[in-house]
Amino acid sequence: MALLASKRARRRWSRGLAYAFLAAASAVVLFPYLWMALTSFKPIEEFFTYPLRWFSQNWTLAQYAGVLEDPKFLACLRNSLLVSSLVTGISLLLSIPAAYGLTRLPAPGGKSVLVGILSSQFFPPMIFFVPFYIILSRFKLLNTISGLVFAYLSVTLPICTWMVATTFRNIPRELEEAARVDGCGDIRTIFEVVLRMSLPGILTAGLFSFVLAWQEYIFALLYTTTPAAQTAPVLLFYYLGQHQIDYGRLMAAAVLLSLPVIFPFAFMQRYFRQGRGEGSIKG
Amino acid sequence: MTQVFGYSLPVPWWLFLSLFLGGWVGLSLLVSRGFKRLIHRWTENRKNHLDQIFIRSLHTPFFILLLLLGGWIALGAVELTPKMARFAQVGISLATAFVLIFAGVKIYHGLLTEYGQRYEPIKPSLGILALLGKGLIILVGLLVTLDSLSISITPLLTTLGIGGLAVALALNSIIRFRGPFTGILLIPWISSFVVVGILFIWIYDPQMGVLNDILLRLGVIEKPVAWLASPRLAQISLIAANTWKFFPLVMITLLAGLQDVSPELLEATRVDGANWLGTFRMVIFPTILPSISTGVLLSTIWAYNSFTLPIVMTGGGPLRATEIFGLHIFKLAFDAFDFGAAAAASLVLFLQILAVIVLYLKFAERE
Repeated sequence: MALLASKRARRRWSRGLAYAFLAAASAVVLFPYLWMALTSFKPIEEFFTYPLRWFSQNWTLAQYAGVLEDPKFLACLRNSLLVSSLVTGISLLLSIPAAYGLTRLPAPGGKSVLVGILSSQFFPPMIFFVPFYIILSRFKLLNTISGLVFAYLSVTLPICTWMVATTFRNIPRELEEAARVDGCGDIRTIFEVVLRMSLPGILTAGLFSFVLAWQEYIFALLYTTTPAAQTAPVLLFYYLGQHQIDYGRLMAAAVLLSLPVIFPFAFMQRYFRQGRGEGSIKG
Repeated sequence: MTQVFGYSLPVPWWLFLSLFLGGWVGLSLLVSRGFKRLIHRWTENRKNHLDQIFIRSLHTPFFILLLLLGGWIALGAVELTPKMARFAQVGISLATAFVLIFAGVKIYHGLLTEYGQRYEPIKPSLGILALLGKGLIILVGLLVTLDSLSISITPLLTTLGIGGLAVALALNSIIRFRGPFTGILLIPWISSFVVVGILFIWIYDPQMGVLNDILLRLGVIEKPVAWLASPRLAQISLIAANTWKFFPLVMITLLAGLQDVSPELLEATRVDGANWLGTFRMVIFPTILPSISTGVLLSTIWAYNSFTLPIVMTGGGPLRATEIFGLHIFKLAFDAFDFGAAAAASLVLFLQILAVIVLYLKFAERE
């Protein structure tokens, strides 16, 4: 009995330790963001006080107003949203059929194609800069949103295909056969069984490509020159390159740029560890 | 113009080097294949199985030694800057030393598979040795290929690995709040490089930065430090920022691996009286080993490829201390507008990464 109690106590201790450790790690992760948010609400004069004042005495939204009144920033934000959603939509639209074909249909060499798709992730991105520049300029797509979308698709499409194919492979074939026996046609099987069961995987792939397009800035830096097609990270990079860096505006812009990815992500992260269709055969 | 054994060739040194090394790899493949066939024919008629294992296991070290010989010749032939020459020397000597150890391990391996059937208890130590070999191979593959800053990526990787592992283990051992914690800890991974760069510039700022403020208040430093202004400090600061950005990747890979640990096996080990270290070593670690190697491979490649943080934070300075290979290529192409050189240099980079991948795949398929 005493042994059992001590064991339980020890387990409680180790769990407490795990929570403490996680709390510390989360603090380290969140601290830069918190600091950025705190800074963005400060009036500019308080930046230079010594010793540093962590919490402002007179909170202000002036920095945000300054950013949001900048038509350039709004245009770039709109471009970012447009590019990211286009990239996400197109890569899902193309990668789902591709993944289905590669995993379910008797395609010759399907497996080696998949491995090739995966290994494309390992290429150093520097390889693509110059060829893409030449291709885009030949097609007169430099400094256009569609040019950027094409460039990003070359990165997101393989990743999405790989991710979706992985979830498809985890769906047991027996389920599809059962649906067929019950009288589902091919198309209906795909929509009602395969797609529904792999929804978490598909959502993850979509989120992944959105985040990738949202945060990318090297391609955007190279292939766009005017606010007509520039994305928000590029603008931030320009803010940073100015001789007299306006840190207040920079912080507010960075906060605004982080929000659209952090919030959807916070709601969707549970899909990362969920739903593999396990146990659906048994019943 | 390159001085090669006193002759000057009209090609830049790295082009010569990559062509030479590429040719050498092909040549070594041919020669070592011949060697393999020879020793197989030679050992065919041997009755003693142990002999066969002994001799045949020498084939891979022979091949790698051949490769390294090419490295030594290239090092002698081409005049490098002193710094690069030193790095190359250290890398190749380490690799050579390691291959000799590796040959020993292989023979030991052969011996153990021979006698392992009869003496069961030896087996676990084999696992550890193979593991050690694997880790070292990956490390050496790194060391040989990396240049100045990238050498300091090794501490980045160890921090990433240990931190990621610890966090993943902790996450796996709790039930409540697992979702929120995972969400929070993944935030660096989804944040934009530009934003991360800005965050850390702002934290490292000598006057207005919070890092100096904290350290001053704690009394660790006496006066503000300019974190991004001196070469060595800038490297360390960049490594810290890079670790912050990349550790969720390792964490999520390991977390996925931890899902495969069988609870029954864990319980059985506990009932048999193993403490947490024992269960970790006997059950958890072997199960997540594939995830560990995947995580190491991915983060190696990404850390090696990624030049986005240096661009934002330092632009490669001060004194080019943070100009990693990728950034160098970028500057070649879009500052100097030497597209040809940039394309060739990125091919060289690709070859280096390919070497790491091939080594990894070789071990992955042996599992």
